[in-house]
Amino acid sequence: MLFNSISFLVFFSIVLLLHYLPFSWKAKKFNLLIASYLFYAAWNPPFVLLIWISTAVDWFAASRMYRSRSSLERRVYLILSLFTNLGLLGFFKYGNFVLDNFVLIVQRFGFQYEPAAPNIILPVGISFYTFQTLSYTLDVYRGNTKPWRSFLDFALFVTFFPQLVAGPIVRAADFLPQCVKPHVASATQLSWGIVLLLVGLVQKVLIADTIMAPISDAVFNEAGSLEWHNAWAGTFAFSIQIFFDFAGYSTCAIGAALCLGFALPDNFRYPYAAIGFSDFWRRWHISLSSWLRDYVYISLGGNRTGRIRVHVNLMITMLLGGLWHGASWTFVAWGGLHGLYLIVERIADRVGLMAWILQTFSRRLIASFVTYVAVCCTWVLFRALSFDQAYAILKSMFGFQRPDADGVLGITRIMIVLGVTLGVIGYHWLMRDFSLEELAKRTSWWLQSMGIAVLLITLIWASTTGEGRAFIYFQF
Amino acid sequence: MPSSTSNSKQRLPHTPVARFWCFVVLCFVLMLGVIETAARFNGYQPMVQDSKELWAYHRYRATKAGESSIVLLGASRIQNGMVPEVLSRSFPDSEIAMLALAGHDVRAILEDLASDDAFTGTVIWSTTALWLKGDFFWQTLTPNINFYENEWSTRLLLSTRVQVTMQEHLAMLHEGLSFEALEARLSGKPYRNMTFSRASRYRELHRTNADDIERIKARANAIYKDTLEATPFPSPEEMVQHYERIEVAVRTLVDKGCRVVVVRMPSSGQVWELEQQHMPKELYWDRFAELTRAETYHFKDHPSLSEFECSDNTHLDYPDAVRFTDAFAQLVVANSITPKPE
Repeated sequence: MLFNSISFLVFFSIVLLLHYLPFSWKAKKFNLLIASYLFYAAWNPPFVLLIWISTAVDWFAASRMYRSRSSLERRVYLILSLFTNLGLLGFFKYGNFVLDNFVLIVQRFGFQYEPAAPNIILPVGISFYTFQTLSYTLDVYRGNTKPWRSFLDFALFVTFFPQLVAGPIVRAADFLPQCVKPHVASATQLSWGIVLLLVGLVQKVLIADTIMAPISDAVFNEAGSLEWHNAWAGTFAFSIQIFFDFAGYSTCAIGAALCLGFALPDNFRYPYAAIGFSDFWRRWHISLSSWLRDYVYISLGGNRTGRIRVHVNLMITMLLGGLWHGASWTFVAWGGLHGLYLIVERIADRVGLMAWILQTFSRRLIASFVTYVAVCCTWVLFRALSFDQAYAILKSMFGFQRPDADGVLGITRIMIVLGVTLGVIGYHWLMRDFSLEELAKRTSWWLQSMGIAVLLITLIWASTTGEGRAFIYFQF
Repeated sequence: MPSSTSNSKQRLPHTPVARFWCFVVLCFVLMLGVIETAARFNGYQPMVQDSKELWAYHRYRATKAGESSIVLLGASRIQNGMVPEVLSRSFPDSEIAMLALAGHDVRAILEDLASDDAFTGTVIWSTTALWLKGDFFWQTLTPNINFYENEWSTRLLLSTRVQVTMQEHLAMLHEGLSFEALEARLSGKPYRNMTFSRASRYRELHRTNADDIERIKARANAIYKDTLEATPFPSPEEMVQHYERIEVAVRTLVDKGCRVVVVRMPSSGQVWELEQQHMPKELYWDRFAELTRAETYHFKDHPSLSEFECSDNTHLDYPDAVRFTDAFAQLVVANSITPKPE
């Protein structure tokens, strides 16, 4: 079920209504749990089973792990959780990928091996809920948290529908305490929750789907060589599309949860105003980058190892981050390129370059622009369907296009992309150290009301005259 | 609450909630009124945008209505020339579903209806020998059928109905005011929209008085000339195998109690002359009419259907489409080809 659909509007209205009826707190949580399963089952009912398996195994493993006195036993339960969760993820998400690569390797050695296509369907949101439930077991294993007593609360934590299929990836320590005390959203929370839902929907439907998607599709669906300005415009368009698609989903998720009285963590903080790549990852998909930092990077030794080893740790973390996004080598390369950027930045930091950059506004601005452009180069790998296509587009971007290069975008489209991109970067700069809530606090209520009315009209216009698209991150 | 949580109580803006939302509603209504008035003042009227969801909705209606459904199949000639709202005046107890789609061949949908046990209604199908030949440039309706079979759901039914209702009432949602159309205008490309869809998927044409009607006619003539002269047309004897291929679906439909009515929609001027030159009615249509188990109506065989002039030589304009549909419906009723009562 998509946030940008009438069925979600109906579904959410019913859930809200039930949530605000004078039932017991337990009944309300049960209502949310059932609603979450229905939300997921609306896409493909049998795959709810996978969520049940993850929930049951992690609940069992964590409680046994906590009670166990032997470190070996604790490790066995951790392995059980890792094996189950990563096993399911591996089979459903990486099964085809592994098989394809295996066949390639075997064929390289001269064997003609062609297995039947396994035809595995990727369960929507599996990467998100797997990481979410794994974080609970890992926290219990590390002694950072105790197992939660209520199975209902835990099942709701794993399945909570606003963030189930595309994040933010919530930690047990953030969510479970909210299940203890009976509460519904206050009038202010409900009001702000609806505002966030609207803002998120406009981000997705208007900017990502209506304005940017057709332009980036035109460029990335072009098989031949592109003129350099077309290649850049398509890449900028995709950078804006993916930001508003994903940040739009996160904003909707935070808004929907808030309407129910639950707080979810931020997932984006104006990433296109980042100065440097470590700053970018503190602002982009925050819940994933902090997950990778806490459970992969630190587990590998983090910063407490030698220089070379820190760089290796960074690279491994980013490669895994790339692979998390999709079962394709282009995603791995995307992660690898980000890893390389982080290593270069680390070296620059060590020689004092980063401190020098941060000294003046103009240097910060230039560094931010360089960061954005470098991030855009990685988006080519993220969006391209193959290395050949990514290579062709990157070559065109840097002026190495063929003489017969195509111009698939007219001047109007290029100007639209430039205008929107500059607008978004400018907005990110202005809001760099702000939040939407702080902006709302500084704006008079009637001006906000007018803004919301404009958003509503825009949403109706864009959703009925444009083409509806699923969220990009659903595929991950 | 963790500090990273954006919506913790400490950070929420405190607005006067009731006043805030009342003012939102007031602003919304006022802005909507202004935009809608401006759109209508500039000549835009509410219209429905055709889509695969809308097609699937009508396909769903076709099955749901059982014996009382009447489906219209074919390409642009019937989508422009047969008005469901007019047809329903002669068949008041029937659900009329327009499944025709401009530029699309009917074979796939005819076979789909034949294999659908739940469909027991009437099929009104527009065709010519050119289409029956089977290797013409028509696109297949298979993607639409697959969409209906695999993706159609109650959720889509709901969203399609809401979307169509909004488009039916708001001129600001006109296709000519979509982002795509606005972008085309910014590029200096002319945005021409001569077709107005309805919720029934009927596409209204108003071309007779168009400034460039002669250019449109010339273009239609050229397309037909190129198409008909591209390859030698099969002989009447060779065409029998093509009739046979599609007759399998017709037979299945008739055997399960459906009524199949085939209509040859009007064409005029040079297009009709070209059609007669390459696929004379007497050698092709009449032969097909003899072989098929379907009821057949050629516009030239009935005085009430033959008086129409197509604005671009191939399609009927709306006023003519109304009269043509009425005349056709009377013929069908007179021949007792009405759906069985429930």
